[in-house]
Amino acid sequence: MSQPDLETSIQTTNARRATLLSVSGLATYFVCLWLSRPYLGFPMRPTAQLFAVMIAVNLVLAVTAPRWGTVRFAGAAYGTLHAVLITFVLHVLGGLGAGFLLFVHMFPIFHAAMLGSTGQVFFTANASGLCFALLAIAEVSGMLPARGTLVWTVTPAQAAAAAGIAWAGFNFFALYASSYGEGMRRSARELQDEVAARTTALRAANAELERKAHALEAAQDELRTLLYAVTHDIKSPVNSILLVADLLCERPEVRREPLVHAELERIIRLAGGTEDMIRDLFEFFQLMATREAPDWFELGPVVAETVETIRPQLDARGVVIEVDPLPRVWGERRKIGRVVTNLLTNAMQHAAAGRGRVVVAGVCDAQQVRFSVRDNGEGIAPRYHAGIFELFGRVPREEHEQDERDGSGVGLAVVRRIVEAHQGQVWVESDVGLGSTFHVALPIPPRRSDEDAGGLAA
Amino acid sequence: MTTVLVVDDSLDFLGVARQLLERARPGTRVHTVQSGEAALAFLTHAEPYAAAPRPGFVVLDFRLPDMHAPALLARVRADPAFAGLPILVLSQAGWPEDARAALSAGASAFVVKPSRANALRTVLVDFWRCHAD
Repeated sequence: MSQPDLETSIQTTNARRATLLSVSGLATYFVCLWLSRPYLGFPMRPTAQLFAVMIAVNLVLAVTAPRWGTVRFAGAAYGTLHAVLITFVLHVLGGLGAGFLLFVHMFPIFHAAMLGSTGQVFFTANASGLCFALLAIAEVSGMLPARGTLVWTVTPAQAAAAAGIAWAGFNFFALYASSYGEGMRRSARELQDEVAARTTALRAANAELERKAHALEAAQDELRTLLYAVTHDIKSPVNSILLVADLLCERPEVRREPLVHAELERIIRLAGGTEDMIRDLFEFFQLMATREAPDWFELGPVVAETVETIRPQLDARGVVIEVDPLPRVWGERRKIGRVVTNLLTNAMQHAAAGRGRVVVAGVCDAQQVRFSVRDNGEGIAPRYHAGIFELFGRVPREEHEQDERDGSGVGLAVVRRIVEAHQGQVWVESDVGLGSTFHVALPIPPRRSDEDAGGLAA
Repeated sequence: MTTVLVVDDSLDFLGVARQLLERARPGTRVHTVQSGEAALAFLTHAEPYAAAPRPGFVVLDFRLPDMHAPALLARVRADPAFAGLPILVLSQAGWPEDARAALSAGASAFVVKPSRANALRTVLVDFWRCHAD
C-alpha cells in the first residue's frame, strides 16, 4: 500500500469515528439532561430540537466521511462547528449559569485532535473559548437574556473570570488532546514506514530468491547437458572397446592362445562393468528428464512385470520370489517401476546363492503406502546403510568377496532419488548373515476422490 | 552381391561393422562414410562418389557431427528413388523422442546400438534379412 493511501484511510476512519463518537456523546448528554429534568429543570423542547439537529448532522457527516475527512482544515472546522453548537446548547440550557456544563467543550477539542494537527486543535480550543466569551459578553450586556431555570445572577467581573478560566482550560485540554492525536498519527506513520521498509526488504529478498532459482535452474540444465554429453561420449568408446575385443576373441589365432584369450575376457569384463555403470547412469538421466502425470496405480502388476523381465536371471541364480498382495500407490508409474526393478535386481544379486528367497510385501495406512523387498543374503553392516544409497556407493568388496555380485552402484541411488522426488522415504533394515529388507514409504496425496480412498482401503 | 553403406563418425565402430558384415555374408561390399553430407554425396553419386554403387541398405548413426538422423532421412526420403531404401538407425542413447523422430522421418528401424559383437551381429543380420533380401 502506498503512503497517501494509508494516510487517507486513517483520516477517513478517524473522521467517521469522531462523528459517531459525537452522536453517542450527544445522545448520552441528552439522556443525562432528560434524567436531571426534575431537579435542574432544563428546558427540554428546544434542547431536544437542537440535539436532534446535531445528531442528524453528525450522522450525515459519518456517512460522507470519505468526502470531507481528508480536507485540509477538517479538524479545526469540525471542532469549531461543535464548539459553536455546544455554546448555543449552553445558552439554551441556562447560559453562564449552567457553566458547569462547560466540560462538554472538551469533546470538540478531542475530535479536532483526532482529525487535525496541533494547530487545528488549538484553533478549536480558542474558538470554544471565544464562543464562551461572546456568550458571556452577550448575556452580561443584556443582548441575549439568560434563559432556562438555572439562572444565577452573574456580575461582569465574574463573567470575565469565568470566560478567562474557560479559555485557559480549553487551551490546556488542547495541549493534552493534541499530544495524544499527534502520538496516534506518529505511530501510524511509523507503522507505515515500517511496513514500507519491510515490503521493500521482502521485495528485494523475493527478487534475490527468484534470481537464485533461475541461476540454480540454469546450473541444473547445464549439469544435465554436461552429464548427458559425458555419458554419451564415454559410452561410445567403451562400446567400441567391447566390440573390438569381442571380435578379437572370435579370431582363431586368439582362441589358440588361452592366456591371451583370458586377458581379453578380463578386458571385456572390465569394459562391460564400465558400460553397465554408464548405461545405468544414462537411464537414470533419461528417467529423471522425463515427467509423467502422477496417478494411482496397482503395484502388483508392476512387480509381476519386473519379475517376468528378470526371470532368466532369477532362474540362473536359483532365486525364488514370493509376492504378497500389494497396495495401490500414488506416483509416476515408470519411475516407481524403476524403483521396483532396481530393488528386485539388488535383492536378486544379494540373495543367498542357490537357495535365494526374495519376498515383496506391502501395507498402507491413512498417511502412506509402504512396500518392502526382503532378501536372505549376507546382510549389510549398519555402517554402510547410509552409503549404499549414494551414487556409486557399495559395500566394499572384502565384505563379501564376490565380484559378480557388484552392481554398478547406481541402482539404489536411483531408488532414493525417485522415492525422494515423490516425497517418500527409503531405508534398509538388515541382520548381518540373515538378509536385508529395503523399505519404501510413499505418501498418500492429501486430496483424493472418495473412489480412490475406497479403492485404497479395499 | 550386396553393397552396404555404414554412416558413423566413429572409425572404430565403422571397422567393427565392416568386419561383422563381411564375415556374416562373405562377398558383401561395405562402404563407410563419417558424416551426413558424405552419406548424401554417396547416395547421389556426387563427387568424390561419382562411381558409388547403390547400397542394398544403410546403417545410420543417429548423432552425426553435421546432422542428426531425422534431417538426413528427410533429405534422402525426399528423393523418390530412395523411397524404398532400407535404413537402420542406430542410437547410442535411445531416447524415445529420438526414436519417434527417426521413425517418422522414414527410418526403417530404430535400435539402441548394441555394445556386444554378438548382439550387433544379430541386429544387422536380422535387419538385412527382413528389409534387404
